[in-house]
Amino acid sequence: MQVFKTAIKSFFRHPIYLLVYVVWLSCMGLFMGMSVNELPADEYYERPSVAVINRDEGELAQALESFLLEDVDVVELADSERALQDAVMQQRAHYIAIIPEGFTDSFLSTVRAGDESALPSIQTVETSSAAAIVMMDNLANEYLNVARSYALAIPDAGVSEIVERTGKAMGHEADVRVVNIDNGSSFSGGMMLYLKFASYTLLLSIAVCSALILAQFGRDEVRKRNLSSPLSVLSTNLQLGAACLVMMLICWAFVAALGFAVYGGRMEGMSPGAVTGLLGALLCYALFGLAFGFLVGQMTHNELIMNAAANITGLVLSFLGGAWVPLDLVGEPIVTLAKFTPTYYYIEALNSSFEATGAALPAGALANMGVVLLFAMALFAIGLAIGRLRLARMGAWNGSSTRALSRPAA
Amino acid sequence: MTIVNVENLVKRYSDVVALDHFNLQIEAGEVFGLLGPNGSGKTTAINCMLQLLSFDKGSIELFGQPMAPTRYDLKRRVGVVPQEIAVFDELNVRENIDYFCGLYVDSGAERAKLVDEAIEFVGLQDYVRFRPKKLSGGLKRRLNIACGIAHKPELVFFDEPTVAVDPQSRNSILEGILRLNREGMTVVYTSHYMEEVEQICSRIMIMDHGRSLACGTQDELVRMVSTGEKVEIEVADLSREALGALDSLAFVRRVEYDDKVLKLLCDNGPHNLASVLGLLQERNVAFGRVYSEPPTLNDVFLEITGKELRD
Repeated sequence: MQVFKTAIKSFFRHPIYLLVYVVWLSCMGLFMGMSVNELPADEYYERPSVAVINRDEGELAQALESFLLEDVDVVELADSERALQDAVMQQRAHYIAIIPEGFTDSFLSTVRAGDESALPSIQTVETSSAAAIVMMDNLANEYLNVARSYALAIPDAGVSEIVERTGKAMGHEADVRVVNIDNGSSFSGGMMLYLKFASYTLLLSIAVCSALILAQFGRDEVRKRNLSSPLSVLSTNLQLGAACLVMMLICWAFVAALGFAVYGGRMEGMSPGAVTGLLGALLCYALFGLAFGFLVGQMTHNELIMNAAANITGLVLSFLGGAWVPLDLVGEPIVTLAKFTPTYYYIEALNSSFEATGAALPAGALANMGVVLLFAMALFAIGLAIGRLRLARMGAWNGSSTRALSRPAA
Repeated sequence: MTIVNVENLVKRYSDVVALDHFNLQIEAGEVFGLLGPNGSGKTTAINCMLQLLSFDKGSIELFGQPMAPTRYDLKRRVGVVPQEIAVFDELNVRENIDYFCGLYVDSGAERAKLVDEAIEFVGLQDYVRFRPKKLSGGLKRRLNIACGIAHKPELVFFDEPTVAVDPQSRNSILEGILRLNREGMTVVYTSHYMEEVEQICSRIMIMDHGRSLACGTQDELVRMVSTGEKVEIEVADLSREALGALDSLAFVRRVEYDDKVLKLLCDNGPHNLASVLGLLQERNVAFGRVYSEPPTLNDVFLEITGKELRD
């Protein structure tokens, strides 16, 4: 186990890579995730700013005014053309309702006369198309419709009775309870952003660290010394592979554990399948990082080149895969290009995993993870081929050569 | 007992023949020197013997058995000190020696003892916790040697271990190699430094262009060539006639007179100096100090290869 122990030792003798690529980048992803505005649904309420200019002294107009000013930010406005213009211009009030003079009397008489076309209306000004403003308008219309219904249904009812009944009707509230459905929809958007960013963190940290380990043992002089020892090539390679795998698992575990530790509190509704899917997708991408590191380690033993290759590739793949910018916002050609990158399938696997409702992984997530693994295998195969080619050029035994025995002298 | 037996070894790199029907026999207990200019095939020969390189033709036997890449039993008995420093920059001196020793010795306790002995042997006791980058060139070379000999092999290949080393460290390394030999190790030493080979090797092979040009003890090699002694005589005044007479002597191969120093290169012969001095006395030529030097390995090399050792 000399090779394995030494490889692991070498890995830990580069604390700066661990600190920068694993810890610091993970924290960066964490902070980016935290910057996502996440308020629980039951705490969310947008209070519109509303102004009511009531020019009617009638009971219905007063009641309507009171109703409209419930649970809103009340804006006091003078009843003048200039004040209204200023309020609209400066967007002091998102919704302005103007109740005309004689509204109460006109409303009741018109309703009872059955002349719907002459029904008086309130004037409204909306300075925003936000949902809360549309809601305000709906509420005002609903209030008047209810009042109209009572006026028609009880022909001898006075204004006070109609207002009282309308107030009661509008005061009814449906019993609403926020329920987390097991489809991951309540899951933190911050975690999703963190996991997307982890594509860069994992690729960079695992690729550089594994390439570094392989390069240590791949240097011609050290390799010759190892080959001239009684340690078999197979054993050396297996031990090196095991060391790289352990290093990869350490990086993967750190990234995953950090994410789940920070965002774990917001994952109550997540199904086991979703959690497994997220961890699985991360692991698959970590394996891709390992394969990339293997390839880089076969191509160069220069630390600077390794770092540059891993950084540039990591940035490009993460961008193309949609880790930085959602692919909905980029053009079709970029999306087409993205489909040739493993990061695209990693993020697709994450998205599919979020939708898992039971203990089982969705087929989509598994398929996407499979594609990421295929990318990893392809890079690994290229790395192997390059390694073999290099040995062949040097005229060295390649470990599996059949020309193992010395030939008799001719 | 023949420890190394190489017969008709041929190794080609595309069109370049690195080893051309190379033959080599090394007996147990020898310090065998492979002498040749850079690019003569010394390292290629060692790499083939260690099965680090494939070869096109020939056979290699170590300890009387055919050597192969998978002959781990034979590899266990061999040590190698490569030309380049082959250590891990991340490990300190002790860890490096322990790693390479661990490739041969499984027992931790035994290894610890061997590592201590190797550290003491190369005199790196004060640097055990140093990483290679902190060591000077000479100390790195010593570490390189310690990594190759810690497991106490029966046969050690030293491939130009003193390249770019200061004279003090070089002497220390050469003395160390002799000590290893006295302890029973057979040593194969390659170098292009003539004086090193002369100093430590019991037998020497001169090679160039992948071929063995001559092989034997130093005396045997000297006897193989026609170059004899070199004679230098301080002469205040020498006539052209006397110079011509000296040049016409049968055993004189070359004669020069410059700056009042007469230089003669003679063939092998028992009475060369006496004959030259006799001729000068006959012609009443006064002479001062006389120097006579037997042929060196350098002369042998020059005569065999027709060129100086390149650096």
